[in-house]
Amino acid sequence: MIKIKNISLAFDNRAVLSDFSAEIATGTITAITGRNGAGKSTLLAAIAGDQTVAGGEIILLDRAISSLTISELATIRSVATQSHSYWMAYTTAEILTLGNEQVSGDRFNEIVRKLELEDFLDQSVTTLSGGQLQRIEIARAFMRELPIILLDEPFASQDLASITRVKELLVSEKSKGVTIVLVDHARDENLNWCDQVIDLDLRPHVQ
Amino acid sequence: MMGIKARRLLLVGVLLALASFTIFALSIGSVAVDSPWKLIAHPSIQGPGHEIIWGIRFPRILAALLVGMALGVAGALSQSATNNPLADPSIIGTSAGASLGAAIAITLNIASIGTFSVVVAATIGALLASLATFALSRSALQLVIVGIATSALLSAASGLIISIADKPEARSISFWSLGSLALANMASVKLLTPIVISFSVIGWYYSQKMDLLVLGDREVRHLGKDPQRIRLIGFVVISILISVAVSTVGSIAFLALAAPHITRYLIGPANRPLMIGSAVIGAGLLLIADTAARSIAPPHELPIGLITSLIGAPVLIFMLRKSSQVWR
Repeated sequence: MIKIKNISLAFDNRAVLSDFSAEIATGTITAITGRNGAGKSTLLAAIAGDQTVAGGEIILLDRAISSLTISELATIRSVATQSHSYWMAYTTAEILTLGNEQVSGDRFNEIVRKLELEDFLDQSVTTLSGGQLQRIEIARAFMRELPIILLDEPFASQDLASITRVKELLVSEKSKGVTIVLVDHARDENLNWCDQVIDLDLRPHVQ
Repeated sequence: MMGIKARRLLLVGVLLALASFTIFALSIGSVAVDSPWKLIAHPSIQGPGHEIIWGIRFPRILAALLVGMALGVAGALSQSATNNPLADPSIIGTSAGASLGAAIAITLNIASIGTFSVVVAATIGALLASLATFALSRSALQLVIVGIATSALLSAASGLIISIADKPEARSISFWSLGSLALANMASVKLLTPIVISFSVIGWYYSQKMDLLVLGDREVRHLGKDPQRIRLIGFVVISILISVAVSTVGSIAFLALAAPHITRYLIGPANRPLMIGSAVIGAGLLLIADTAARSIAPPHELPIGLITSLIGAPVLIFMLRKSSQVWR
């Protein structure tokens, strides 16, 4: 369970959300939508613990985020940011393994297979497309099987087939009780497959 | 990417080539020696030739290998710690800080050249400079810009101190800021050996943690680790390695930047193999450069920095052009 209680958020000293509350049930998929600059990614960053909250509080699994250390947070949630670019020629397999050394071979192979990363496991990450890099971020987020997974625009650079793949992975992880929150900017997209949609445009704008 | 076996084979090959070149380097120099190979094969034969080969060239060769190793490891650590391909100890302010620390200590008579106390002074300067660069910059790009500014500022300060100080030793300081192994002797080797070896090993051991930094600071924090803390230890090791190098042979251009890039091209970016490879490539490049510096135009000695750039730059450009995967 994620509880967001009366929080206010600012980005670059500009207020983006004020007195915002929401509840996200365990084992559900929630999409945060809204126009550019509505504060979707800032809200996701706040749930991740990356962004300090000006007022109110966010509770992850019955504990206030502000009371959690970064190593405690690391056992509760993982985050896939929008794709990261690399200059060093680590292979896809090396990048997937970094920080995930404890992950079993079975889990590693399962995620790699579901996100169709097999073909470029030994390829340098400096040669991959934006969509491929984004799937690596998503794969990294799911590897360690944490209770909460946060995804920033996971479909942004994906083709239709890959979008389907990612959705299938999300749904199958949800069925294991994982709570998934994602940011999606395409508002007209069909989000029926999500359990909850938080549309930040439906809120009064912060001036 | 190369498998472990191929990497090991390559390392053994490079080490053998380095060993052969080390012996060859004993045989040449600005002063001609009669039957040098006989003297090399039989170090017990006494005479003027023996003194040149074993008393002058041998410690200088060892110093070149050790300083090259220190620069290679420090360069690799700098690039990995900042996750920036342009970072090298002369760009992020470390070398200029070390020079300034040494210059201040020598002109204030706190320490004298070639002693452990100069290394301490240089280390303090290097640490302060690299931490200042680090603290003043908020991104990888800023780090390079702030680092260049810090370097310029500290180099100017060293220049002023050297110009104002009315000391005969100051001349050698300015000589050092251009970099030269001409003054390297057995005492330098005794100073270099324990520090370079131990901190290279610490750097190698610790570098594995720095692999994480390639994921970006935010993701490192998501994994529950503090990226600044990971970096900090790296910066301390870099500062000590650079300081011991600068306080024995001055600052040498380009090597710390080139050695890790060449190594990455050969064996890939994983940090632990990268440290070993950069140490070996750095040692080899500096030995080749110094051997050329002292034997191309006898009796003149060419500035070592010129040779490291002449050799290192084309090799680096060639490798980067050949492999679009390493750096883009």
